[in-house]
Amino acid sequence: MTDAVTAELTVSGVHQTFITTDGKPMNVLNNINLNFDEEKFVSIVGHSGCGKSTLLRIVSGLQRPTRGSVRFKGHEVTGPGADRGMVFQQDAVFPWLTVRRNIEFGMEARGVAREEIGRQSKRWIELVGLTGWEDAYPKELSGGMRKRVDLARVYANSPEVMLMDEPFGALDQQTKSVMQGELLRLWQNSRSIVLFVTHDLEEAIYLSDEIVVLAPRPGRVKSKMQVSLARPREDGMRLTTEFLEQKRALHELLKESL
Amino acid sequence: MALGLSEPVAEVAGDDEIESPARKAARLRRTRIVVGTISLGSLILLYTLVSNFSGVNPALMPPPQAIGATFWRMMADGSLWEDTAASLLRILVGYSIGTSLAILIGTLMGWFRIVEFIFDPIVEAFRPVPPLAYIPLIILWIGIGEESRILVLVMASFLTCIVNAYSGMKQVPRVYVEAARTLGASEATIFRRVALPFALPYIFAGMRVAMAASWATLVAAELVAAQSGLGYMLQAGRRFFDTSVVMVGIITIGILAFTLDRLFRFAQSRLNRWEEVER
Repeated sequence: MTDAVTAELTVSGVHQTFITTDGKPMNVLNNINLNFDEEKFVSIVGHSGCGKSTLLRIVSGLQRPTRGSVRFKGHEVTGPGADRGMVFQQDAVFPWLTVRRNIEFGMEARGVAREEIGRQSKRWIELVGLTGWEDAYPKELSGGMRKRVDLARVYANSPEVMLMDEPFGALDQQTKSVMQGELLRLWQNSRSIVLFVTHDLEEAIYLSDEIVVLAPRPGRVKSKMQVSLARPREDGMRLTTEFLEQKRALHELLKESL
Repeated sequence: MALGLSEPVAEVAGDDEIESPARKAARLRRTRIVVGTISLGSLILLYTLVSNFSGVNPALMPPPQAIGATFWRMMADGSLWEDTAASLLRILVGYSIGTSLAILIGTLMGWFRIVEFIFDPIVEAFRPVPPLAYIPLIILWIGIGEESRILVLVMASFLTCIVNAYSGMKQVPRVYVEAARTLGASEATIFRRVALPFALPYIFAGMRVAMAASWATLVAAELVAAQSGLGYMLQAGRRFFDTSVVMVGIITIGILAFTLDRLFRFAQSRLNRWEEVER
């Protein structure tokens, strides 16, 4: 996360103020400056109220900042775009479309050629292990399988930035571990900048190259941490001394941020 | 099952393996059909017995065989067909116009705030008044022709269907819209491929309610001002003190409305296969 001016994705001087229901202004994000210039996996952690989800929404373009700007490849972000894919915590898979049609949705919306759509959806269905479920409706799938559809749908759109807002937050612990492994495998397959919001420290360390710690009220960058674990990551690493030391260090950073 | 209704399916109960959910559902369905047939059959039997043997005036309570005879006579002379066709045509025209307008305006109302602000007060002003109450006014304004009966039907189906179309669009979850946006979908694509499919079950439910409302309104409208149709037939039967004609009218309306409703339910289940019906 160098401060090179040529950074692909730049968050500069972002402030976000919301007006609460009782009419008072609430400062959610205060002068956020971040640069992402490599295909790195970056997690954003912080206590609730630190504005981590808001920051992600601003990068996606779903939310305009009160002040400051986000620039991607030299252009200011003024709205959502397929170059910045987003996975939400909630189940965002369309229940009225089959697995295949869900995965093809983004490509169809962008007007990708039919043969290419077919090729890509087949590829991503295989990559997320949903072969045989192409024509199933989401109601027939488990929570973990729906998340796979969601990931495949965003990845099939070949975004250059992946924004993930606690995507596995609603899954049980076992499914969550499996999905973390799957995500890393997919990411290895098609590298992109990933911004991953989570409050799960183990998840942040297991997945990331770097971790940004936000402090709450108002949300601001408190510290950054490099994760020194080798890639590819394996499930067994979670209990190594090295892993646990990093987790402890992150825990300390988070405590200091309060 | 605690009600002792398991009698007709004793052969299943004899199985000593554990009953699967599918089997249980099939067993309950069969029990339901058997019991339902018995209960409806008993009612018809009771009517048959009373009308034939209790000494009640057959002019008031014509026995089933008399109703049947009237039915055949009206089929043979074509009058039943004519009245049925007249009513169905009115329904077809009025309902089609009414629900089309309701779907068009209702979905736009649910999606675009300005359209909502424009139409919501109008819909809310008309809705509390039963469509039948407008009949006298409509007759005063445009007479007792075919147009006025169809207009009442348009109003009845429009006002019932629009509420569902509108609320279905209002309930599209934000996460679907935002997911579509970040996938690169345009606003037009989101309306067509996210909002409309989500609202479709609501729209369908509205169309079904509108169909029922149309029948109710149609018969009433034909009772008041018509020279043909099933409502007119009922009215004529009363005027000529021919109770069996009234009975034929009621039964015909019942069968038609029931059949249309079933067709709707079938179409609904085919179109909305994706819906989470469980729970």
